[in-house]
Amino acid sequence: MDVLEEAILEQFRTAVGERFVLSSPEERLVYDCDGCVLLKAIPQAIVLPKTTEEVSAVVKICHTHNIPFVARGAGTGLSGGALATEGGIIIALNRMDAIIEIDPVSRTATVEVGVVNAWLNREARPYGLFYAPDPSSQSACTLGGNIAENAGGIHCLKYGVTVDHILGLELVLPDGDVLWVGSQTRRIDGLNFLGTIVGSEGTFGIVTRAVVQLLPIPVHIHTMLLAFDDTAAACRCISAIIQRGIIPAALEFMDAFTVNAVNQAFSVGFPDSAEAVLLIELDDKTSLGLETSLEELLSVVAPFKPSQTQHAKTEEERVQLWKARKGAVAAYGRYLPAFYLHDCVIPRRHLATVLAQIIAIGQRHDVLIGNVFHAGDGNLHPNILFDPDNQAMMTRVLKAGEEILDACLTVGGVLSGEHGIGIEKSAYMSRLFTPEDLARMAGLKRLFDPKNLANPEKILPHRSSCGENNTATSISHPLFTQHGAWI
Amino acid sequence: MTTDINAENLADSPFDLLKACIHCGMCLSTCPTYRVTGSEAESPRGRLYLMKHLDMKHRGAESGTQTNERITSATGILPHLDNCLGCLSCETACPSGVQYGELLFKTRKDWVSHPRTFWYPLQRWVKQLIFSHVLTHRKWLVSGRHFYKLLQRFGVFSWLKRLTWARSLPWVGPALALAPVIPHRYKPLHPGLSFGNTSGERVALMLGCVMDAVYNHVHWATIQVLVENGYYVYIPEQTCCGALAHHAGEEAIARDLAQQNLVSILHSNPDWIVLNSAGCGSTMKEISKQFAGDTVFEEKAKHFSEKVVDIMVLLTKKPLRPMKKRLSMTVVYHAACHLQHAQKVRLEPEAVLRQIPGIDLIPLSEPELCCGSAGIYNLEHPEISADIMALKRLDIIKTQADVLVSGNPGCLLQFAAGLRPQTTEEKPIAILHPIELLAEAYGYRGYLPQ
Repeated sequence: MDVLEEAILEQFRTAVGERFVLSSPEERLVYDCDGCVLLKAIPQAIVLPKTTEEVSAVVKICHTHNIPFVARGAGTGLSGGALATEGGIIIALNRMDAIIEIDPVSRTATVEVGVVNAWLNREARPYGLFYAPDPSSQSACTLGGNIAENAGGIHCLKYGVTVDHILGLELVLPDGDVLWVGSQTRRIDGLNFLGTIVGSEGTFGIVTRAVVQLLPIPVHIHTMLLAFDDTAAACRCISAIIQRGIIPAALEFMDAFTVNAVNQAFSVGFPDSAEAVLLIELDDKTSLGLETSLEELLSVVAPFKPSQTQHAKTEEERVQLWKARKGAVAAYGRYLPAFYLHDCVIPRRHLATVLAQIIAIGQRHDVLIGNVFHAGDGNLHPNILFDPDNQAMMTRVLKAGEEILDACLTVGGVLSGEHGIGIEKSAYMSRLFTPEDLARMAGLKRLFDPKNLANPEKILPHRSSCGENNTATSISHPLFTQHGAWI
Repeated sequence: MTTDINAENLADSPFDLLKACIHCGMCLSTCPTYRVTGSEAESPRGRLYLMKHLDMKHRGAESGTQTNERITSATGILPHLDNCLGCLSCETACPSGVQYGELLFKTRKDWVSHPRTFWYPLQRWVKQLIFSHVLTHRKWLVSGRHFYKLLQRFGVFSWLKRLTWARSLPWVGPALALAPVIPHRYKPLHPGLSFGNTSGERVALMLGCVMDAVYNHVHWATIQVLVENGYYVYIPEQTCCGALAHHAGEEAIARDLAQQNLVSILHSNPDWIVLNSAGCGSTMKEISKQFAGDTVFEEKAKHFSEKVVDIMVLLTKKPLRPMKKRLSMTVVYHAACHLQHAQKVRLEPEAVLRQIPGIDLIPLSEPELCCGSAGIYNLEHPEISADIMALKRLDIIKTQADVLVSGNPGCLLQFAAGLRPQTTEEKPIAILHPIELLAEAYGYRGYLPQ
């Protein structure tokens, strides 16, 4: 789609300043995808506001001229949520990066949404506090993106996902009005929109500020690694831990392929002969409490005969373990240049069977699949690796992806645990919801955004073949036929 | 499951290295130019994406991205690559192991003759002249230093700084803003000089250009500390390291200089080739890459690279002799990008500094962040450079430290200008090379400000 007309660009420049409106072909090109390289769409311009007032002014211009707008943070999202698939502009909020206040007494922080997740933790640490949701991309992703996707992370098993940590939000509505939702306390009067807006992927407007809850950093932490010779045994072990009622701070699964990639990337020395590795972290306020739960955990684990048990002895070792885990997906880059990642959550008792199916699907379609996931939540992350230049491989990858999704939905799973629906999974929404369900959701969206300008075409499946379709793809897949995006 | 595909197999040509980037975006928050401009076209991921398109245009590849290729142009893409500091903090952050530096410098080399602007050919000619004819002549540099001191004594710079038109000149304006106060002490060093007991390990000291012209005393401190620790230090025949030419994509000049150094320094049979300038050090260390595949020099270059070592790393090779003097001060260490990101030297400098009696080392919140100097970047891109310095400044000022140390002349110059107190309440901070603190602790005088 072409660049916006000069008169409108000029209005944006007046609103945010000359330097912060990007409209050259090269600048627009780099915003044509996010962390999900499967889907691409070039925006008509990018606007980089610094304040809520600027965001509101920009949105007002969009409202007047019926220009769709898409909010974007660091563009680390994995469901194509930050793409301007319907044309229009990207409003990138990464310049709104101020931590306005940390209140150690109420244990809250007020932040602008462009603040990087890890920065908030860095600033909160001297107060003995931390912000719990920790997606793997936390060193780069913004809190705004976390709010949009209702991001989870490794420690969300115990501490909950983003929505559990947001107390209040400042929202720029699609007509430019500014609204505060929620409060600075744990309680909200009137209708509670907070849970609706968190996770709405920017389809209700643009969140510009947030009051988030901080938690005391747990004093006593124990992290360990269990290696298994048998994937099924590892999965059964996870189910047993959950069944026993032990809630580790984190409970993560990695398959042999992932262990190999991570060993190469970070030289962490994970046991590379193992078929599956579990990373488990326990934390507690008291050392006695920690010892008790560790003992209990080890007794639950023992019957599953892990081939190796390593305990992190120092804080450095612990940090290194989690660094390796968080970098796992990117470490796949050492094998093939791109990955297609599903994010299904399944009932935990089905872990062993579904994982076996995924491995079989990978073999059947001759594709590399790396499994690294939040086992405690049942949140699978099968990463199907591919080379975008290899069309034949792409077809197999998409077919495998679809079959994996089917396997998950069949056992009662859902599409997304933490990456959001975006554009990539919206085609599958009708498999999970009835037309009536979807119509209700669309009705709610219309209430906030009657002109359908705020991140249109995301989450909810829409009419077919809209959007930019310059190069038709030969691949037949809901992703491409429905949205006309190209690869 | 098959795991026989790996990065090495992918890397048939340098541009296949691009395939290692999976577009995850983990590099964004560490990139200084992305931080200050807000634009992803000024981020490592964005630049890799642009390099890929440049490469595809170049090869005339026919793929599904023809549409994008039509709208982008080399003239549009190259300025974004030129805007990169080359600090390589993205390499530190990258979990996929993308060799960003390799790709950037290769692209700059391939496209160095492509005119981006009307003035580009002239700018390039001036730079080539400086790289190959000024920085390589030690006499010119030394005369330049004396002339500069003379101008400084007569207050020419403070007078020029008051003139609006002078401040707005490209290169000159930013240079005036930097204009360092050069210390009076200058004890010439030249090839043939040697220090210490000949029975010690042989250390060839490389002098560099700016380091010797502006921070000549740092070389003396280096010699003193090495001799204290039993090394035999000598100055070999040498020329400029070629780092600036290499980073600007002027590979012919860089290679020529590298070859001269290779021959003359190896001829002197050193055990170690020591540098106290991170920028020169990283280029010298990578000399083996420059000559990979060269029938004559490949082996020599490998041999050379193995001997190259930063002064702070050499000092961790064996236990330091005890230091006599106690320096009671708070110190903040700024890791030069060419040490921490390019040479991957992260722990050694602080490990050495901690051994100085009395020193209290204060950590920075963002130790990975560049200061915005990046060779001559601060002259070419003064605005971005100043914005980056402002970020760095906040982090440093809040430590309230007495001294900032950094192992690179570019950073030292940048800090000398950027950390000047902006209000009367602000505490002035002394800016030194780490080796100066060591020399002082070994009882040598005159390195600390009065």
